[in-house]
Amino acid sequence: MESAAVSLEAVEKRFGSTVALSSLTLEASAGEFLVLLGPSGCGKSTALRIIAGLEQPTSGTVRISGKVVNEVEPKDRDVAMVFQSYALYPHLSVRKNIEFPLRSRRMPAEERELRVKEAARSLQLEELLERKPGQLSGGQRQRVALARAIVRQPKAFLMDEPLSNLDARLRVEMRAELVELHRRSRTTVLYVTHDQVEAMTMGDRVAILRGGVLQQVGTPKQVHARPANLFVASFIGSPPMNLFPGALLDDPGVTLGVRPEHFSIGDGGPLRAVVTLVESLGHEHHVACRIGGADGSLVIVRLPAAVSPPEIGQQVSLGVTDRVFRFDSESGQLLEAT
Amino acid sequence: MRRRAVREAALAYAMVLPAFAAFVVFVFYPLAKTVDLGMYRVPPFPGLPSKFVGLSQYASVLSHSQFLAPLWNSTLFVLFTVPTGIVIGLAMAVVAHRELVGIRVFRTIFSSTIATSVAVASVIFFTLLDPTTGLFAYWIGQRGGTGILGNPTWALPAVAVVSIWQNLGFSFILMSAALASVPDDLMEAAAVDGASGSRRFFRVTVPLISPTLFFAAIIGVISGFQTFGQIDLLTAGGPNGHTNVLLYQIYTVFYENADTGTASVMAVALFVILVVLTLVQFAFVHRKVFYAGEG
Repeated sequence: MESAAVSLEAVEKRFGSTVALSSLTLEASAGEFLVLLGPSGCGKSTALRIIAGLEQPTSGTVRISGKVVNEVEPKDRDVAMVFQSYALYPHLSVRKNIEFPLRSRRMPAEERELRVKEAARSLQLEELLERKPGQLSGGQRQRVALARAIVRQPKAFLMDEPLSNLDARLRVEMRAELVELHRRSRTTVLYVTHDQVEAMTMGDRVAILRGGVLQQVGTPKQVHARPANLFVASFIGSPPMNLFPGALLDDPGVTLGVRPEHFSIGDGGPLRAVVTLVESLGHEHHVACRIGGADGSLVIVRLPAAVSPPEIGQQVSLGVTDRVFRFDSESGQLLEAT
Repeated sequence: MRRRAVREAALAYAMVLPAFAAFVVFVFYPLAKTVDLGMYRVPPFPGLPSKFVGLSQYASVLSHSQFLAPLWNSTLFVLFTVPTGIVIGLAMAVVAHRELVGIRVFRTIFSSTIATSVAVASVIFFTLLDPTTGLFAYWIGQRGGTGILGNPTWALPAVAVVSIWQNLGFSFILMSAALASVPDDLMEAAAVDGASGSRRFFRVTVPLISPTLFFAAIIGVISGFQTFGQIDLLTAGGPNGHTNVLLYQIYTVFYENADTGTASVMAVALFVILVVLTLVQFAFVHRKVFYAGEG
């Protein structure tokens, strides 16, 4: 199937006086899995809806396969969308739901049947074809929504938080399945999520948005290793990066950042700290320490499971084992990573 | 445990009792009394005692043209008013469903007829349709004569138009509420799925609002068969019985002929007809209706 590059050029969207997107320029190349990541209200869903044609940009250009589609109706854009709510037609059977986009395009019955069969097989829905969406579990509905999207063999998939209504286990399963689906079809995917784990594990590249403004685009590795600014630094990584505004360097213009996994405990490091909390997750420990007395900064340290964690209340010394990020406190921009 | 269940049941019955008593006094007793009255033949001259004739009066009245002709008129009236009222109400609701500047003004205008009574609607149309001074006669360029309400062919459709107009506000509000209940993301999914506007409407919207369409049809049929005010005010059943619908006939027989027996038989027949029609609608239309949350 043909896959398409999708691009937004200086796209702006206002709802009254609210700016949902401000001059967003972003391109997903053909076959790429691009994740739009950000907290709620950052404009990521608006961007997706603009690509689908469900919203008109206030200004700017939307292109699919290089063609400007600003004036093209959603039905003629040849993209498939998966909604957070799944948006299955409740009065139609699973089969008719999957068939709906094909019937809308007046595809001959034989080919339609073949396509539905294939989509149902690839998502293990064969047994459920005659059921109504109301009789399915959340995970099954999710599969039907995906089947309805893939059956069309569109130029691109737009997915709006498709996994956020699933329970944690199912989410992990579906994550793997989506990645596999993408690997097989190599169709462009634009995937919206607020979950950084999804973004980091699924995306070829991740675009991080905040307040309608693009913060950084890069591979998961790039945005983790070189966050463009304080927002990206604190948004990517779990637990988030420890930030020390000014205090440690006696330079209020610079904020230091150290990731929790880049601290070591008890190797005679230079920082004195008191352990206030230890969370053992099985595969790792999260240790919260306070440095510089009772009203000092709180630091989260991530230790591998093999290391035995300190006791609460224990005095420890902290050392930095890997890179330290320096950010401009005023603008938040990354100055250097050493 | 058992005693507690008995106590709870007793309390529940005690709470149902007032409503049940009201039903007995105002619904069940009058119904039974009407069935009973239908078994007594009222003599043509006042002052003579009624005679018990049993079900034979039911047989004779229900096969007579004084019942069958009004029944036919009522049926025509329902066929004229119900589908048209639903379709126009739905069309207006679709138009007013868009978020446009000033749309509230139209929504208010569209729903305004709900604030008119049958009497007001009848007076407005009576004036419009007056053969000498009415606007309608002026428009069609035929002044004088019997006018449309005196025309045997057009009188019933004219009264039907008045009914449709008067019920339009209700139909509009009902359909607007139904449209508002259709989730936006379903319509958006259908748009992205490549469905045209008409396909989205007939394949997604209509099935999803079918419970409301069904409700409107039942309510419309029931109120259509119970039409009285418009007939009384506009045509009084004329010309020559062409707008004499069933309820108006019952009224005439009861009050003007003082024939309680015949009137009761017709009233019972109307009740049975409405019950049967409702059940039939449930049985047939129900299969085509989709209820949200249903599997």
